Amino acid sequence: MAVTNRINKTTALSALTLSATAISSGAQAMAVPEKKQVSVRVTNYQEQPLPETRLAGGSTERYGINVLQFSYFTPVAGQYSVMTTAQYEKLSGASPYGSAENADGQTEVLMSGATIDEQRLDASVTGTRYFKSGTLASGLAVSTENDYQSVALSLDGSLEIFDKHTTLMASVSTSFDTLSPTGPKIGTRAEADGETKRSVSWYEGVTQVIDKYSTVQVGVGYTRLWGYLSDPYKGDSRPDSREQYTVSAQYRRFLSDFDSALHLDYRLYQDDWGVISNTLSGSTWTDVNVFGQRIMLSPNVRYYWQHAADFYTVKATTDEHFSSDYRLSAYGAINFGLDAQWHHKDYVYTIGVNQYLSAESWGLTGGQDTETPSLVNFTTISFGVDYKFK
Amino acid sequence: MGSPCQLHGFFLSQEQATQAFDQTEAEVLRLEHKYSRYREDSVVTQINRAERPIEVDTETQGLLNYAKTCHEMSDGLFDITSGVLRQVWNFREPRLPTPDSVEACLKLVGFHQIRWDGQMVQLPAGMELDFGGVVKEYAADQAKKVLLSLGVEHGLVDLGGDMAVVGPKPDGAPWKVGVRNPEQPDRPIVTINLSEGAIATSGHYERYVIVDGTRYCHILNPKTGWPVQGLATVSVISSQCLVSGSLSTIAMLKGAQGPQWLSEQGVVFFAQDEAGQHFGSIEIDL
Repeated sequence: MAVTNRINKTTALSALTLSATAISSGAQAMAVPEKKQVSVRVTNYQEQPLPETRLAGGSTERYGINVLQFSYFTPVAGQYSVMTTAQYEKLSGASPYGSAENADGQTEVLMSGATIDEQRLDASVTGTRYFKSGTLASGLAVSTENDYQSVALSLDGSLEIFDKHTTLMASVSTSFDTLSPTGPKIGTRAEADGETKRSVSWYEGVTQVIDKYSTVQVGVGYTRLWGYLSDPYKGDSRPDSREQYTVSAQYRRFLSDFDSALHLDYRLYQDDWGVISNTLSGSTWTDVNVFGQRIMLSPNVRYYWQHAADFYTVKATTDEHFSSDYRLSAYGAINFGLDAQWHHKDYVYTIGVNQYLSAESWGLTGGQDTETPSLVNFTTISFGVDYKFK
Repeated sequence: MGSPCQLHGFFLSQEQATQAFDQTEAEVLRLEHKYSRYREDSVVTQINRAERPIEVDTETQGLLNYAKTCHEMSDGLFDITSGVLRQVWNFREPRLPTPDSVEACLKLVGFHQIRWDGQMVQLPAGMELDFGGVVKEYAADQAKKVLLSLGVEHGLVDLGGDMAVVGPKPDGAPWKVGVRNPEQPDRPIVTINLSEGAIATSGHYERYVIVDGTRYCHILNPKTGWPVQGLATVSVISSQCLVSGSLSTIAMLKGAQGPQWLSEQGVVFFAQDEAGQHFGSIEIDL
């Protein structure tokens, strides 16, 4: 006990000296967050049921997921901070096995009959060191569910230059996943048991302050995956490596006449499986005063479309690689959402709703003749609380 | 800054000397204007008059965080919101305020009552911030930085008794700094040799009134609203004038417990209480 007390005791001299040294008159020093924060979020994700006419068997119900998220952020020793997160997900419902054409030439979906009841637990910890003009962070994340385990490591850095008008960012990460499919150990489920998947990614970006009201960020990223990349439940066969490239841009502008901020994002994705996708999103954040309380409202919209992977097909085939997973098909999707935050003393209460709709023919480019009957529509609703304290 | 300010130094050239004087004067004036209660355009006036939370610049953020640390480290005695007590305490007339008026004013004192989250600050109605207790010492440290950036190696900045040493004299000899004798403020009670670091002094003789034989000085306890008693003068030496100043003020606010508290901090200091007893690691000249 005596040892602990000695270590924990901060003299006023050391605290004041540290605090005085941190005062910066000229170029701004990195703003190290002052307060701790605890956040909790619950989210319900519900896919809309399939139309029965497109069902080859099984249940019309799709996935429902309930997620509980917790995070704790704390500054440490004036120059560091630590963020820990934990997430618990409970999935239930039916996921498509794969699609096939019926006698009328229409594709039908085979749904797993039994309700899948799965749970997943994720946890992560990230430590950040704040320097005068930058940050360096490193993180560890683990994820486990009955049929999948994953470990990931990451390293991120940022550097402010040109009198803080420009920020350079770089990050590198790697992950290692192990599969252990549940259900009868036959066919691809048996094959995949014990298989592994690895990935390495890096990302580089630049953020530039344009003027008092706007900033722009551009970035490029690359990810390489290798190992067992097929889906053991769908019995497909995908290549054992995948290279992905992304280019993204973000624009943020403060509209002083409306006391709002506008966010516009674009992302282009391409990989060596033939998938090309575009994402366009926009949102605004507005401060409103309701009964003397500060409320922030953010309506948002996102448009996404992708081209199919080279080996996507709903027909039976003797090709080496094939998959009828809807996530590798050509389709377009639109997401509408509304988020609201209520700032009250040291708390922020949040609520968000989203509706996601997708269809084969909604892609601006890359449309194809094959259909994707198992595309999802889903709704999410979430509630959260953030609490800041010293 | 409300008191005479001097710069002592040995310079490499007339040009360096001129630059040194001009730039340190400019920096001290910049800070005086920025945190002056009497200027319409000062940051502190903007904060005191704002009705909504306002964002402050990095320098002010640093000073607010520093003031907050002082508040915590001193168990709430060091409080930059205590300036409103000026409304009831007027040290020009030998008259005491009524306890009721002090009580009423005390409701507007308390750093823990303000909203400060590291970027935005908001004061409850009627409360005010007063940087007077930190800006002079901070300015001494800033003036020292200016001199260092100009390549000055031998110098001392003296802002009304709060000093920061840039470096010893060219022959290595220290600067001789005298601490005022509380009974005879124009004579030193002790002379300190300073080659580096900074010294700041708080005393009960700077502004006070005497009523019925009792001295009431300008250092007010933010919890009671009344002047502190116990110590006549405290000088603290540390690496930064800002830290020295805050520690000496906190020691004065702690009164009789002040010297003990300073000893626990492990800092070099000199103190004399109202009875004439001396404390601290500095030996006095007789």
